[in-house]
Amino acid sequence: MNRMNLNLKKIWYLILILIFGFLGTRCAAPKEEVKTHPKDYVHALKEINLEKVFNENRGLKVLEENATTVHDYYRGAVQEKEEGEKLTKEIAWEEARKHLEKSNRFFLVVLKYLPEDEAYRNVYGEQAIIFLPNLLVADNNLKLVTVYKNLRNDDRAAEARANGERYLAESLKNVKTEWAYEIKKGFEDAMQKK
Amino acid sequence: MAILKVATKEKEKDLIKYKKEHNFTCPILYEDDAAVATAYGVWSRPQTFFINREGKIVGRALKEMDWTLKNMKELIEYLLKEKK
Repeated sequence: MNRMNLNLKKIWYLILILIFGFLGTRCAAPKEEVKTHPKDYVHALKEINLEKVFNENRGLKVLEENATTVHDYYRGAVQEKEEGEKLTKEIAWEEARKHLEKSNRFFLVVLKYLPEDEAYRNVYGEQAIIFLPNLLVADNNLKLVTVYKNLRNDDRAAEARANGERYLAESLKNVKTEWAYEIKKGFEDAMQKK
Repeated sequence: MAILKVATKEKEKDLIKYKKEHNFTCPILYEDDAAVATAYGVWSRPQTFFINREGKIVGRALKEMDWTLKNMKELIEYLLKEKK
């Protein structure tokens, strides 16, 4: 019986075609704009934070060789960042460095095509995601400052801080978040520790 | 070969009507929270994934395709011939 079920399964799953999109396939444009805020509105940390960004980008792991769209690179960058952050907490500095640097490489691809941060970006009808590539690169660099220092590479740590502050300024041009101000403080503290 | 359509954030009654109108026989997965779409990294519609017998994604189309075209048929036939 089991063998028969197995054979049936084999036949059934020769190939599965999964089609996303139905009525909406004829109109991929957003049905309505996402919520807008005044230019100087500061998004609270409980509204926009790293954990939310991680949650929105989990799922199938994006492999570099399979990444084809800008959004793939964004998801991949966030996934690499999550891994890098986890390894940082485990004090696995060298491995953390690899993932955080890879995350930055992915984000740079995103920024080539979509250079501006948006608190929310419509990606799916009324569904929006937090889209802050500049801020996430800045945050990666803040973490990399610690990583490089622990790897006794002060030159790279200084470079990461300078790069991070540059991306942070880019982010703040378009979106203001409490998270960004926390990162700013992180860089200031890192400079004082020097 | 199995075809599964995934409808995200659509109204159920619209889906039933649409399925009836177009005489679809394939199952439709209806999801209101976009969990499957998010898991597959679907940020634009339509998208089509080809999953082989081992559950591996072997192809992906990011736009609307005419599946009756010769090269599309050849692609599906090629995938069906794939040996384990």
